[in-house]
Amino acid sequence: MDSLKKRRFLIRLFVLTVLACVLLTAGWKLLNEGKSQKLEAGEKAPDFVLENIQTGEKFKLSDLKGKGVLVNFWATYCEPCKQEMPVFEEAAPTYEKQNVILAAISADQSSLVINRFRDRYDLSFPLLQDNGNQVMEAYSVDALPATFFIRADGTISRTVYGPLQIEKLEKYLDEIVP
Amino acid sequence: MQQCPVCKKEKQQSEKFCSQCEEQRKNWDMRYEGALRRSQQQKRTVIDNVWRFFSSVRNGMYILIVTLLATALGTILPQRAYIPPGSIPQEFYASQYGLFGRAYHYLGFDMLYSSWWYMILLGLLGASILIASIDRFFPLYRALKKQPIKRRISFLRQQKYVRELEITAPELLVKEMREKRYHVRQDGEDFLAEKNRFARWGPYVNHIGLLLILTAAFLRLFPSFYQDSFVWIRDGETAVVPNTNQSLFIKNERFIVDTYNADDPKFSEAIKLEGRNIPKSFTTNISIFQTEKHLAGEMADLDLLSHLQVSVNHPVRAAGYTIYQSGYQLNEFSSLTFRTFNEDGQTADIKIDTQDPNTEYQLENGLRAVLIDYYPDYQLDGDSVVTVSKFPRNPAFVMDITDGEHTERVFAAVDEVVSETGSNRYSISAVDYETHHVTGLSVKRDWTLPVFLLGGIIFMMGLIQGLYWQHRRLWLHKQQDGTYLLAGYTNKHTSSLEKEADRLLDNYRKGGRY
Repeated sequence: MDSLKKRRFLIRLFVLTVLACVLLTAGWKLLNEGKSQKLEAGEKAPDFVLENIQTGEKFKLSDLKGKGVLVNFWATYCEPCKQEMPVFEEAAPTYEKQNVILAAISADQSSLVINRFRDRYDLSFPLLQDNGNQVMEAYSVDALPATFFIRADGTISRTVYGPLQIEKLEKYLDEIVP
Repeated sequence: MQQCPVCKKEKQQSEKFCSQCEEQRKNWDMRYEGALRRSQQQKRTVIDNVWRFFSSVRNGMYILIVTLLATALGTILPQRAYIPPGSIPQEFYASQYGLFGRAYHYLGFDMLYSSWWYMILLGLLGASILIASIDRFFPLYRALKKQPIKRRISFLRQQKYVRELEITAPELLVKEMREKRYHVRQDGEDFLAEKNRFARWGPYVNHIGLLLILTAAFLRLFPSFYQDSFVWIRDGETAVVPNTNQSLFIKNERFIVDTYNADDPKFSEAIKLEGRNIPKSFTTNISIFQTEKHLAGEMADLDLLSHLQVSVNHPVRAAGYTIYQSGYQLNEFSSLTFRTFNEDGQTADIKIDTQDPNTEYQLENGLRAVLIDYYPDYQLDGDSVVTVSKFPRNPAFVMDITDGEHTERVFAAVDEVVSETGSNRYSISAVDYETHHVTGLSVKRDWTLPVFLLGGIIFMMGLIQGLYWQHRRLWLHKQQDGTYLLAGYTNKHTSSLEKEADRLLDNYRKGGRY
């Protein structure tokens, strides 16, 4: 009789534990909805290839192994993005010497728009066009701007969704200097 | 004074049973064969208490009622997923439904079905169904499996159908029972005839179905079982389907809107009333591309899977996904044409592609247009012009028009052309435009549907099993004085059992005459 009671207790414990696990999993899934798809620090940065608007050359992330890369997503019609561009322009030459490449991926459809923007702001660092939004999708970017700091080994060191705090840019860039 | 039919003691004339037997009868629960449910035991741990809570049908009903009320609450106003795309929930609910809408949104009822507390309710309901079933099924199963053929006289006299019989050939009655599809077992001179015991499992089968439905709802939380993406694709454009790990691409080859014929007398009145063409159906010719290892930004590595046509209510299947035609936009410009006049009055047109405009246009009347700036979706922001999106919904161009000597800068949009010098020397105006369509496709993968379906089928099976058959038992007991006692029990429709048993006896008596 005692062993029966014990078995009954264990069965009840088992059933209740399974139910609790299901409920906790559901709760966890709900809390993380949408969040889970965002890239996070430590993950491998998805590779991409895009055309450099200026030079017409292919810009492939995996070709830059051994260098730190800042990837910024922007568009000419995005106000906070516009403010970041001159800051990147200023930082680009200094960090290029330290083997850190800055690249800005535009969501604009027309290259003319990007070119005119480049002329107006006098930008010289690589501007890339992501017409089909494939790279944006790969990086799970749904709002502009977004900035990814990628280490020399291809892993993400930091992600910034939304505007960058300009004064922190150097600190973040120093983190990805190889 | 009369005899109590159960214990044969004396009882009051007015009562059916003596007070002692009456009390026993009240507490007699045939549902579980008079056996105590396991959760009703004496000594309890925390686990036992939790178990006891969920094993209670009353608690289960409370949970069910609360769940039903909550589910109903979510249908009062549209859920957030169904409000017009692009609208801000807070503003939408407040402006459309006033204070009630504001409160509805504030309390999170606009996302009710994915709220944590609704999930908890479903979880509690699942626990209640599962535990209440376990707590009842196993004791009942054992009790029925191990039931004795010989029963105590008091047990038999408690039954709803009791007859004293003076029969000489019980085997003839048994034969009648067998003909009525009773399964008859014998122990000594006692018989137990039983049929449709499986009907007792109906509620438990039904509960398995319910649990499967709840499981399917749970599985919807996992992207590998359920995925729902939406893509806007312009004519001729290839788009990656979000959340497919860059493995599925769709090209919009051509989007076609079919409108109701305005010349048809059947529709002309209604169309006039509406003041615009009414779409009959819309269709997109699509190409599906699949890749294993896609390099984002690369187009060349796409493998064509199939060409398909998807229209409203006619979804297509490809690569494990179902693609639905679910929206369209017709308001994008693909090109604008401006007309210019030179000094001699000769005209020439500039057709500017909004997707990929040239930087310079050499015109036939000797003029030259240089594109200075382009705003795909312009708006005036104070004194300056800004574009609010990348889509050419309201394109505007800043051009320098020159004949070699005079250069004039104009701001040209479809509805107005403004010269910055104020002269509009070349009388520029928009004369024509072309539009392109944008198709809205919803790409879904839902492996939970088969689970829902299976759950539904099992649910119905359980319902039918429990509703259309009745578990009937007849005990034939030889008493000490040589007479027989026939007792019958059914879990429902007692009158039918009574009728059946009476007919059995009737047949026996007729048969006995031979």
